[in-house]
Amino acid sequence: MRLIIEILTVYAIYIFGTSLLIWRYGNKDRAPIIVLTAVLPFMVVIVFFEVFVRALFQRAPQMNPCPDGLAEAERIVEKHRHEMFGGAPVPPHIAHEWQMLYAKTLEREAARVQKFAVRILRTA
Amino acid sequence: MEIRDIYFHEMTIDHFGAFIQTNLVVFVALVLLPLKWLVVRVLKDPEAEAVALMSVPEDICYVALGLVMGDMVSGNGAFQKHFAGSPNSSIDKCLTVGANLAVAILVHRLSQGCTAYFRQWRAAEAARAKDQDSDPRQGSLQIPNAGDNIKRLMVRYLGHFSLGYAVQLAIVLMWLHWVAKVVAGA
Repeated sequence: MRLIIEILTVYAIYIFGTSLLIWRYGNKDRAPIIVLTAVLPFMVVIVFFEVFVRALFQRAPQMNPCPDGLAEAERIVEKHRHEMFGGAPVPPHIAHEWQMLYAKTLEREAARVQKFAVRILRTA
Repeated sequence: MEIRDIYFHEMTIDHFGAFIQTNLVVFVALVLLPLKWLVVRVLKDPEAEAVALMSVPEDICYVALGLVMGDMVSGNGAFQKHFAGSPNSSIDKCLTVGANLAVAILVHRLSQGCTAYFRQWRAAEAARAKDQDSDPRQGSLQIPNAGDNIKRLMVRYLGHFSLGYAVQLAIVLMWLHWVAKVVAGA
């Protein structure tokens, strides 16, 4: 019982803290963003289960191609961040990492197709 | 007011007090976060508001350290009793303080990352507002899918920040849970 109360307390502090921050500093769509943030811990638990199931069945996740213009958008956001808060520059990396992960997905797909083709050729 | 009403009123306060004493984590959450926010809000300092809310997990960590140190300086405290059976009780007590400091360092490190993501989220918010307010004929942001990409980045930064904040709270309240359990067991 005590543990449940404490878990609920952590969740309540989390919701209170994040909601206040989003409400105070967000410009648009604050209510949907607050709801999204509130359900995030549950999504993380679901993702952990998904990772466990994927590891169990040895199924790697599929990445979609990196959206066009993401690296430029990152640069614009970084420019705004530097203007607003200063500090050391943060080099854009999200688009690059996305592209690398997509390349790995393509490699895996290519290897799978090659393996399938070899099997077909052997049987033919 | 009848005597029965006064009796029930006192009973409720007693029960609430006992509940708060046994659930120190709830007490800290009830007192620390809303009061801290209220003080900064009354003083109308918007930038300090973010700093105050984001430093709550660290504050809880130092509340726990205060409980540990305060109990140890008293001659016959809860930690004295808790480690009474151990042959190296002094080392155990030092390790407890060391563990609290380690939690403080960990939480501070996570807090640094969280602050960086929070700032990036705010920058993305500003970029999005500028993108929406600008005249499309002027083409201030001449990049493909600017709005969608900035939204993607916003969700990513906010997700990282929220996750970091939740992890900090979970770590620090787990530690406070243990400290409160030892203190309550005295």
